Amino acid sequence: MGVRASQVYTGVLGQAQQTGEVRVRRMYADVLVVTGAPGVHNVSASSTLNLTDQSVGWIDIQYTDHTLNLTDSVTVARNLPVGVSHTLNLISLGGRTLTGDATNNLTLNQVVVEFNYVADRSPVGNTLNLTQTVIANASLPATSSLNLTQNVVVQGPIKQSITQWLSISQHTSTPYRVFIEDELSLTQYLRSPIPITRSVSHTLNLVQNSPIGNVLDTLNLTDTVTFSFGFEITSNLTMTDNVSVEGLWVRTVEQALEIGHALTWYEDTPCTRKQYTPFQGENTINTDVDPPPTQLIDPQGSTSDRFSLYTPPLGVRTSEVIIRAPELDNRDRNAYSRVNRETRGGYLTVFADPNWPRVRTLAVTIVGLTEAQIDELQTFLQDTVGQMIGLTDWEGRLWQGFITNPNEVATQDGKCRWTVTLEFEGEMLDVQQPDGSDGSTLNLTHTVTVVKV
Amino acid sequence: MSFIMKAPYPGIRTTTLLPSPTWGDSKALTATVQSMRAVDGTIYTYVKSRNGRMRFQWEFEISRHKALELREFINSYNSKMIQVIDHDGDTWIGYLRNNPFEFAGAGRAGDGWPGSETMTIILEFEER
Repeated sequence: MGVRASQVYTGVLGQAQQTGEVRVRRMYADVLVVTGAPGVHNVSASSTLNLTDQSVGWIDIQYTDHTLNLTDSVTVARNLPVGVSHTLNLISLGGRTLTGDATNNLTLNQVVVEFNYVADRSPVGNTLNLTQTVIANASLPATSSLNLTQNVVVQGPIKQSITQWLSISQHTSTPYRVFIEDELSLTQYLRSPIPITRSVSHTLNLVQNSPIGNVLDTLNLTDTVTFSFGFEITSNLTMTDNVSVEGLWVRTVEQALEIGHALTWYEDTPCTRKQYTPFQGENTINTDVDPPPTQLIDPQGSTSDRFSLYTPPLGVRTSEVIIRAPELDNRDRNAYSRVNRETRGGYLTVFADPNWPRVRTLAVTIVGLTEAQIDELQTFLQDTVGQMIGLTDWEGRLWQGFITNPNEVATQDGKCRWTVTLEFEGEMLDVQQPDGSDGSTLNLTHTVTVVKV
Repeated sequence: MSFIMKAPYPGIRTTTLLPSPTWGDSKALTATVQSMRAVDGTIYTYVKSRNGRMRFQWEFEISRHKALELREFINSYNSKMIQVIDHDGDTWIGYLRNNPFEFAGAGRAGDGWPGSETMTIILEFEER
């Protein structure tokens, strides 16, 4: 059983009759008075208020103002579920071509006072959505100032919980350089009269995506717990910055590149096909070989019709065989130690170390010898078989080596005409004496030039 | 037409000129084939194509001093890659394959031949 009493009053003050400031004010009050009756449990008190101010027409300056005070007070003597709520929608429009101003100032205070019951909880919550939209041709700031204060004062050892969930989103569609800043200050203060477990934590996620410019997060976290004994202070910080830049990239490419050059030349003439003329250029490529000398090192000495074998190779000769010079089909064999390989691709590679041995062999055929000369030669070969001997060839060059075919057959071609072939393996000595000496003579020449001043 | 040998390749530094080789120069492929016949009569061939490399042989009759120059050239570059421009003007890159290199006295020569002797040598050359 309910009793309802209502009163409606509508008043209009003034009406625009001429140019000037015009104020339109409405006051509306709806008071519901519920008188209690014994045994009545469902009690509601509600206020429904619709205020609409509209100024249109030829008025140049429009100004609308709402001043609204809502006070709901419910006092019950017993512990009954009591709800106190305000639903308030404020819409302010300002615009036209001039500078618009849209401001919402809203202050919500909810105070719930409960008795100290065990396991009793008193939720206090404010849900506030602020949306501001500015559409203009020039730069206008859009600012949301939001202060949320939640205060719970509880008497008793019950669980306390204060949660603030705050989401700030800023979006702009301008194609030009923009600056987006979020300033967020979170302060949590917890007070408890008794030493129960307390926890103060901040959870903050900052995500910035910017296609242009810098992405910077500056975050200061300060957790302070003041208490009489130890508590844990933990700061967990996760920061993710993504920068996508489309523009010029300064790139540095470094390569260790060695560039060399090679230069060669030649003069193609009939003489250069006969003379000792190795054309030497230059290159900057290091190789492990020495190029051929530009000058003939062992020029042809005085030719002779004599060919001598002797021992020892250097010094005073103790035994010597001198025979006639060999025939023109003499051989100068030059053998080298090389490694030949073939790659999987079918390419040929050849390698040789400069220090690997080289074998030089002289093969000569001597004809027209007498039997006595053959005997003398074979006696010499028998005495020096396998030993180092000296050899002076028909050009006066000195060699040191050994005979590799002491068992070579000597053939009698005719009466008093014997032919023999010798193979000598050795090396040419640097003590070559084109004048025919044995190389054991050392000539020293001192030249002193005195300049009298 | 001269026979030109340059070495080492590609950083060529030394060039030696020779006269054209004598008749009898040759060139051949280095590819080989080995055939095997199965019991049913099928022939199987095992081929080493060697990338189509060519092998050349030239014989030169040169003066005594030119032979000494060639010997020094061989001493320096017997294991190096060389470039050859043959008497036909064709260019080849490869190695000298002789071992040993044998210089043979061919005969006496007049004063126009430095050293008063002629020598012969056979060069074997194979593409790389």
